Amino acid sequence: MMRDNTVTRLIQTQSGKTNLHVWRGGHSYERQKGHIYRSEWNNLLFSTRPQPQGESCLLYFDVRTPLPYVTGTFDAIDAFHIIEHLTPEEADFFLREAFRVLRSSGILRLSTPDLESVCRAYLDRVADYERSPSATNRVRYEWSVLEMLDQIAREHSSGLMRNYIEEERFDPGYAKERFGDVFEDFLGQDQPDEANRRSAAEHPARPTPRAILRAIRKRLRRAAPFSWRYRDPGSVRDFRSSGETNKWLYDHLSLTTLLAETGFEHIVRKTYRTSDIPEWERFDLDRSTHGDYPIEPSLYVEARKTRSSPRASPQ
Amino acid sequence: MLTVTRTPDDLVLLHMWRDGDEYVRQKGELFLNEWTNVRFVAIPKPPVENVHYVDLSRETLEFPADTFDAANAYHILEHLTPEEGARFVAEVLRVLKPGGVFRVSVPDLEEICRSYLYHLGVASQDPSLHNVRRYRWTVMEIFEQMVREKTGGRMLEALKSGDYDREYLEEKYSDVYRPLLAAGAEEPPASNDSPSRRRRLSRFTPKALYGRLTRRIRRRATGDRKDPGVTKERVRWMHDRLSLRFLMEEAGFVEIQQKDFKQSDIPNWERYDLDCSSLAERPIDPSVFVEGRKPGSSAPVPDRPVAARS
Repeated sequence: MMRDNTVTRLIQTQSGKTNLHVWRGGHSYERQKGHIYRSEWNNLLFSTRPQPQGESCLLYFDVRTPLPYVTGTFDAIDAFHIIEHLTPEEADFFLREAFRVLRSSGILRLSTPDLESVCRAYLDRVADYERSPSATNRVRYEWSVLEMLDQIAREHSSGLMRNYIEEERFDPGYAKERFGDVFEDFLGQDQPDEANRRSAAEHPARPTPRAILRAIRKRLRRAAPFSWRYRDPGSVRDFRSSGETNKWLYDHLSLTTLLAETGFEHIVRKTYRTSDIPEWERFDLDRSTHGDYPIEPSLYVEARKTRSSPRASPQ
Repeated sequence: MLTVTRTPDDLVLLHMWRDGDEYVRQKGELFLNEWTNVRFVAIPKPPVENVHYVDLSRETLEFPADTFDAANAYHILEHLTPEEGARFVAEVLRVLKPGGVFRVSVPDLEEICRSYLYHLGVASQDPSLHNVRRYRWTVMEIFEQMVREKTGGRMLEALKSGDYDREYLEEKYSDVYRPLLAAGAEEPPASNDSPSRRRRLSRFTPKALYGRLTRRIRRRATGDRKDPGVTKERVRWMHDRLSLRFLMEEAGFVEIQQKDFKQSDIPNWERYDLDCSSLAERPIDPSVFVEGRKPGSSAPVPDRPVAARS
């Protein structure tokens, strides 16, 4: 049965492959690679915001729901920094969906922050500070802790990192090394989120039945006596389900295990330069256009769909 | 103003904690009788003699300034955001007497990361079930309590389903998980994956529906007791010896030192020994312990040589 949101018009690469690109947005990334993925990839932007009007290349989509494609559609999928924003159950669901929409022998590429590298960096910064307790080493140490915890702990957009940046408590060299070009986004030179929110307000999307129900419930809750809304309409809760926070972190071991449990095979660790996806040299989505370094330093793992069906879910 | 309790040596000591059944079982008698107790909760619990319930994430300590000779915050700071933590530490500084000692214990992020990297290495070399379970637990130690969305989280799930390495928990957390480990969790309960048809239908009997409705209303009225944000079990930040030192320095504490689970500058600590298990020479909950002192000259403390004497 065809779902009503199924996308039927698909873009192909120059050599006729059908690829899917899933990510959460990001201004530097868009600036550097937008023209490539917009012209040759099919794009799903993981977001709970409504689709902005006039945006036809990217489909704003909650990847915690079934992917809007027919089974066996894609030759390759690149999920850039998606998996850490999902709970392990949601990640399992997403990987199964990715498995479903891949063709036989199709490739899935995952990138995500590397918990192992983050922990090593943190311990190194502790040691550096012990050896030489300078102001620079202290700031580097503080950023290594932020790198590990802030995206998990934050309950407001941009979290503590924003405070540190406003107080100019950061070491640009170190931040660049750890966060790549994405650190420029943190500096708030561009605020894609704001711009999007504004455009969404100017061009409100057609309300879905779900959105209407949600609005009614919100009104009702506001009208209820105070004791009924102890939880205070849950702005924190809403924020935590917006997709910005990290819900889990992975390293090569947990990521390969997760892929194997879903039924993927030929699981290989890659770098920001290497991939088995055909024509990758041309797409080169993970390398900065400013030099030979990753746009956002990550763990890269690729796997293939060789079986016809995924493994049974552990539940 | 909250009431204070005096120790037999006429000291006024402040004890703050959030939770820990085994901790209270082993040490409760000591601190409940002799210390002034503040328990960190969001929703007040049934009254207990000599325990004040305070939401330390937003409320102040309702004691006059310069009240206490020493304060001990047992596993509180990790449940506060860095901003809340800074406010809390400043508040403790206010209620301490000059020269008063503040002891903080929290899970040690540094040790946890080392342990994670070690077990990652071992499990990558030899992915046996034993090694993988240990490794998975160390990952959870880093951040599971920060991301959990219901009380107990994935740690509890793993414990319930038997998906953990018993030996590892016994080595490291034998007091924390003692009731569970003692209950002979050797044969994990069989998971009942498919509830019978009858059980599924029984969810819709009038009684079940009524029960669900009333629970829902009660939850609305009192806050969701399964929400880790409300139970305050959610970890909001992790600390190590450096971050605790910076936090105390910024609040104005001096003589900041790392301690172990036996050592403390709190007067008569040998008598209380709150962080050492009553069952063996080990910490009740493995932690990093840091102490600082409120600046100013301390009044001479009984049973303790004053530094100036040497």
